[in-house]
Amino acid sequence: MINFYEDDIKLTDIDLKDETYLFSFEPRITEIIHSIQEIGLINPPILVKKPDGFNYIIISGLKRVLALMHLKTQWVRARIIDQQRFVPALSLFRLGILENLGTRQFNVVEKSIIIRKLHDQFGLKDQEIIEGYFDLLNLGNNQRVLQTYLQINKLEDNIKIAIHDDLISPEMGYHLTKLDPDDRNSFFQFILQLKLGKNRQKEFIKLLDDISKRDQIKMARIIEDDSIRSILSREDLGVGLKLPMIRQILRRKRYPILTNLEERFSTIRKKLRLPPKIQIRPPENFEGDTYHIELNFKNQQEFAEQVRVLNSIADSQTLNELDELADAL
Amino acid sequence: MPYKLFTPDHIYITSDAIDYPVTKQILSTFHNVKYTCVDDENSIDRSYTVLLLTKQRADFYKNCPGTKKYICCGYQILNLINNCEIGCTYCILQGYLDEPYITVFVNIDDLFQELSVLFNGDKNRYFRIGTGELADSLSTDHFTGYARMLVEFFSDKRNAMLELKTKTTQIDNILNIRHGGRTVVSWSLNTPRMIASEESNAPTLDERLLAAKRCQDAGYRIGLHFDPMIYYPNWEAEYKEVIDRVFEFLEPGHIIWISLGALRYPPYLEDIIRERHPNSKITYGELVTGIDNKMRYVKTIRIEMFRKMYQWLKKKDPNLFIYCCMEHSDVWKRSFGWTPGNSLTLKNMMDELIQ
Repeated sequence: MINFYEDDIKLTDIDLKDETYLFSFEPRITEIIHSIQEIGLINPPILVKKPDGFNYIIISGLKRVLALMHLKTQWVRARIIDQQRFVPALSLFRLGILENLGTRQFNVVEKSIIIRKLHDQFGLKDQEIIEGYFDLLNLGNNQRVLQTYLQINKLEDNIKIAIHDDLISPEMGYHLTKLDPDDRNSFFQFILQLKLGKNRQKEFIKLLDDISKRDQIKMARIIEDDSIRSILSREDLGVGLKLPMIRQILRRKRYPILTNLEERFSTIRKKLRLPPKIQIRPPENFEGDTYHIELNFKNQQEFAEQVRVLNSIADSQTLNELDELADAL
Repeated sequence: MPYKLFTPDHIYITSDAIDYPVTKQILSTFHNVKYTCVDDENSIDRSYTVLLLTKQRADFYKNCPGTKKYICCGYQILNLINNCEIGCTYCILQGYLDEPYITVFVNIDDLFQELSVLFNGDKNRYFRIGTGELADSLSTDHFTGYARMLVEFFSDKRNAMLELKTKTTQIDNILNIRHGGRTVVSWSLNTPRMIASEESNAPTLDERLLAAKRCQDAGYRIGLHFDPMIYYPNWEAEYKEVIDRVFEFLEPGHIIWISLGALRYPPYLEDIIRERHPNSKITYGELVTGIDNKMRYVKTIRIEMFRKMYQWLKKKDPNLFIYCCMEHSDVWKRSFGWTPGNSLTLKNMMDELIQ
């Protein structure tokens, strides 16, 4: 049990540089300023006296303190931890978490700061963090999640903000920590420029990562290659057009033989001059040996017409070219 | 790195395996190694290089888990040992088996009884059986001695044969024994470059071929498995050199079969390979999802590789029996110019080779 007493504390006696117990990310205080202006401070911040005996450290209530400072207030009614009985630092940190949880959810970056502090600052083992804190943070009980959140905190602030704003997923954030800073920044800018959604981010990072490792070149160099730069810089093209063009460039680099097959198949399909209501599809990944034809018709007449078209290509040399596709590299 | 025989740091024995002669023999071989009796496998400290001696509680004999979507040779397998210490980068066991240690099932008499019942129960059926599915057939033979027992057991069987598949040179136990022509000793082969990068704890190509030659000289028929073939720059010249090298050691007439298989693995293995073997580049090949949901090279690559291998091998001896492991009929046809059409035909063809 932790005991408190209430006291009026001078705001200048609060040491804002000491972040031992803090985990807020991007504190936005506009709303709380309005709230204090209208109804005053309802919930006092929790502070603990520093060992020097004069100043205080915030356990919980950073935004409230910042809002009061913004309002040029000089004193704050605060709850002070009674240290007549020793309270371990970890218990104070947990108190801050619990106190905040009473009023709000934590964002991804805050969770990562909490986990990083538990691990580095308070020396907790992985399993202790999972068992003692994952429920509180709504993170399940997975070791891999722990690693993800431990790493996210190492990212640059602009990437953390993107995670916070849900532009990129925590998993992608974790993946980005494995890249060197140049590659990370380059791919992050690439995501922003192409407005890549989360699934596309996964697809592109895999393509780039594979090419980079296979050819032993930096990811940034692939992204900054002329073939990609020239598309990214075109002002006459929207993102919707740039994206498939760049995707195809990367697929060609990653899967030269497969994309060559796809392009040859596409040429054959065009030569067959099938009407839009007849679709021809190759075996998936050109793996099997069976092509599929799909007919779309509304009545017997349309059906008969499509059968006539199919009959007309049955003997064509072009159709035979499909059979040769698998043969030559 | 020269090939090093497996030696455990610690032996665990489950309580039901203590009294078996094989357990006693293994403990005597490794008399300097600490051992612990455990009730179950959960008590094993996995930080050691562990050898687990236990009892096979399921059947030893199983059908090879080939998919029906590709042509399979109809092989059957014996699970006598689980896992392998060689640690090839592409090894399926990394994802297939949970435990990071080698398990030896010590109740071998139960195995022989199970096989006798099986063989006697269906005398019209032919059994082509291997032990190299969940382990290397010979890499633990210096302390189990199982190969010798198996070879002698199969030596008088009229409707069964044994294939020992290995990458090792551990053949001394089987050289001077009665085999009756019922055992094929097979080697998995690759190019020296791939052996160095992907099979770095295994014997070199020449060491394997020399061991194969010694088995050939002991009257065994030899099987060769170019599996997994890896597609990389200069693969053609290097695989062709391997073929040339093979016939400097072996007589074509003693080679009963040669299989060709290209790199393939279940998708989940990709992350495992990349994490455990960061220097390996095999997962960066042009692998796509096949109709069995495994990652495989694009079909044109496989056809190109198999076609060339087939031509080079047939040039050495047109009578060599060459088959594809787990491939589509279309790939057979385009690579070899013929196809068995289905798994049963291939099985029958291979059974006839040995009978």
